[in-house]
Amino acid sequence: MDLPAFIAPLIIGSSIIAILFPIQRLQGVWLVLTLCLGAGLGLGITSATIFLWLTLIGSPDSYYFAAELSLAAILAFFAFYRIHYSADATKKKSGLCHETNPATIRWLRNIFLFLLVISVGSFLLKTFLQDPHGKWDAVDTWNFRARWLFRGGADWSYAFSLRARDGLDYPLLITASVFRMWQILGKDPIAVPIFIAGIFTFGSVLLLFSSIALLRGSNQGYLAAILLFLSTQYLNIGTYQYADVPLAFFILATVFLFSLKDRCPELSSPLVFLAGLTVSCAAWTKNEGQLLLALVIFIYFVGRLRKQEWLETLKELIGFTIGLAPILGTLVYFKLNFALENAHIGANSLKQMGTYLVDIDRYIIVGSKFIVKFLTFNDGLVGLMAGYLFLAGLDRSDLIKKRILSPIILLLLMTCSYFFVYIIYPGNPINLLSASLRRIIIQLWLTWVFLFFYCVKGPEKNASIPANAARSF
Amino acid sequence: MAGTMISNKLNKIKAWADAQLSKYFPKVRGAVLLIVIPAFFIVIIYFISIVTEIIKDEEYRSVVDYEARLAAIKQDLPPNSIVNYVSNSKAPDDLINAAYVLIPVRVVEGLKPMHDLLVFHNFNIAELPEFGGYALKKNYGNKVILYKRNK
Repeated sequence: MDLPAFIAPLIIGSSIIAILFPIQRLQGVWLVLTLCLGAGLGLGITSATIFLWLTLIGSPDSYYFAAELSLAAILAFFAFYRIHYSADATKKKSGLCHETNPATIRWLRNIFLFLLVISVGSFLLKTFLQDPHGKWDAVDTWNFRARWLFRGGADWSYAFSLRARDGLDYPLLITASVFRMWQILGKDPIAVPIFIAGIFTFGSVLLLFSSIALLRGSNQGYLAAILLFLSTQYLNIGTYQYADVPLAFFILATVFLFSLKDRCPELSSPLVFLAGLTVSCAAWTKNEGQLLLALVIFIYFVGRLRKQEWLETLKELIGFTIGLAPILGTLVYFKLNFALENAHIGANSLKQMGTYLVDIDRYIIVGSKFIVKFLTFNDGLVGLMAGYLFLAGLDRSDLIKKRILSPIILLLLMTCSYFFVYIIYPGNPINLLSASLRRIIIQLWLTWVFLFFYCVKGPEKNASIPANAARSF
Repeated sequence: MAGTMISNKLNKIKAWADAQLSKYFPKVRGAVLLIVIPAFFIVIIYFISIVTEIIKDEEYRSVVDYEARLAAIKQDLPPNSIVNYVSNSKAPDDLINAAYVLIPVRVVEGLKPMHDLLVFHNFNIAELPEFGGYALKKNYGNKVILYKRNK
C-alpha cells in the first residue's frame, strides 16, 4: 500500500504530459521534464480528488485508492500507446526532433550533479534533524490542517474552523497532498511532508534545468540550475516546508509552457491545456496563485486580442479553460464551503484604503524595503548575475527577444501587485514586510532565474528548438 | 632575434591554450566561472554550516520538544475532546505547538469557557499554581500537569 501513495501522482501527472507530448524515446531532458512537472501536476490533481472525495463521499478508503490507481493505470496505458504508436506523426508535425543540441560540457554537468547531491544532503539533514515539522507556517497552517484531516475523524472539518489564527482561506494543495499520503499509509509519519517539500524543492531545480535545456541547450540549463543552488535561501524555504517553493514551481511551469508555445505554435493546444493545469495548481497552492491566474489571462489572452488573432486566441483560451477547470472548480468549491474570510480582506474600508494609497511615506517605506531586499537577496546574488550579464551579454537573436516580453511583464505586474498589497495593508507595513518580503521574492525568484538564462549568452552555440513565427504579447 | 623566437613560442602556446579552453567554452568563459566557482564553495559551506549547527545543537526544535513533552498526557486525553490550556511560556509559538501536537484534541487557550480537563504547561514556576474550579489530576513530571474540573 505504501508504494502507490508515492507513485500514483507521478504516474498520473507524467502520463498526462506523455499523452500530450508523445516523444517516441522519452529520455534525456524530456524525461527529466516529464517526471518533475508530472510529479507536481500529479500532486495537484490527487490533492484535489482526495479533498472532493472527503467532502462529498466521506473518509477516503480502499475505494478511493482503487479509483486513483485505476485512473493512473488508464492514463499510463494511453501514454504508452501514444508514445509507441503515434509519436512519429506528432514529431514530424512539431519539428521537435530536429533539435541541434550542442555537446554537453561534461565537467559542468558533473559539477551540477555534485552540487545536487550536496544540496539533497543539506535538505535531508536540515529537515530530518533540525526542523522535521517545518517552520511556523508549516506547523500553523499546512501540517496543522493535514493532521486534523487525518486524525480528526468525524471532526475533520475543524481543520478549517476559526481557531484564532491567520490563513483561514489558504488553499489546500500541500495540506491535502500530505493528508492523502498519510491516509494511504494509515499513519502520519513526518517524513511525508518532508518528502513533498523535497519533491517541489528539487523538482524546481530539475524543472529549471530542463526548461532552459529545451529552450537554450543543456549547458545553459546546467548553469541556471547551478545558480539556483547558489540561492541557498531558496533551499532554506524549501526545508521550512512553506508553500512558497511549490508556488514558485508552478509559476515557472506556467511561464515555461507559454514560452514553449511561442517557440512551437503547432503545439499550442496541448501546451495551453497544460498551462491551465499548472496555473490552477498555483491557485490551489497559495492565494498568490490566484493573482497569477488573473494576470496570465490578461497578458497571454486579453493582451493578444489587439493583434486581431481572435479565432486563434479564442481556441487557446478554450483549451486553457479546460485545463484550468477541474482544479479551479475544486478551489471555488473549497472557498465557498469551507474557507473563512481572509483576515486582510474587508479589514480596510474604502476610505482607509484611499488614505493609504495617497500616503507618500508608505511608498517610500515599501519601495526602499523592496529595493534593498532585492539587491541584498541571498547576499547580493543579483550582483553576481549583473557581473555575468556584463561579461557575457544578452543574446540578441530575434528568437529570444520577441518572446521574453510577455513573461517579463507578467513578473513585473506580479511584483507591482505585491507592492500595492503592502501599501494598502491595514497596519504597519514594516511588520508585514519583515515577515513576508523574502518569501515573496522566493516565489518569483525561480522564474526570474529562468528568464535571465533564457536571455543571456551562455556556453552554447545553438538553440535547441528551432524558431517559428513570433507570436507573443 | 632570441626575443622574437621566445615571443613567437609564447604566442603559439597561448593560441594552443585558447583553443583547448574553447573546446569546453565556445564563448563566455569568464562569466560561466563567475557563477560556477562561488556556487561550488557556497553549497559546500552551507552543507558544513548545517552539520555544525546539528553537532552543536544550536537550533531550537520547538515542535519536537513539545511532541516529547506532551506525549504522555496525550494518551490520557479523550480523542476529540476539548481541553483548556494554560502556559507560562513567553514563546509566540507556544499555543500553536501545543494545539498541533495534541490533535485530535481541541485546545482552548485560557480558563474560559471551562472544560472538564485543563492542561498546564509549566516552564518556570517552582510551586504549582491553583486554578479555581480545578483539582490536580496528574503531574507528569516534565513541566506538564493535568487538572480536572471539580464536580
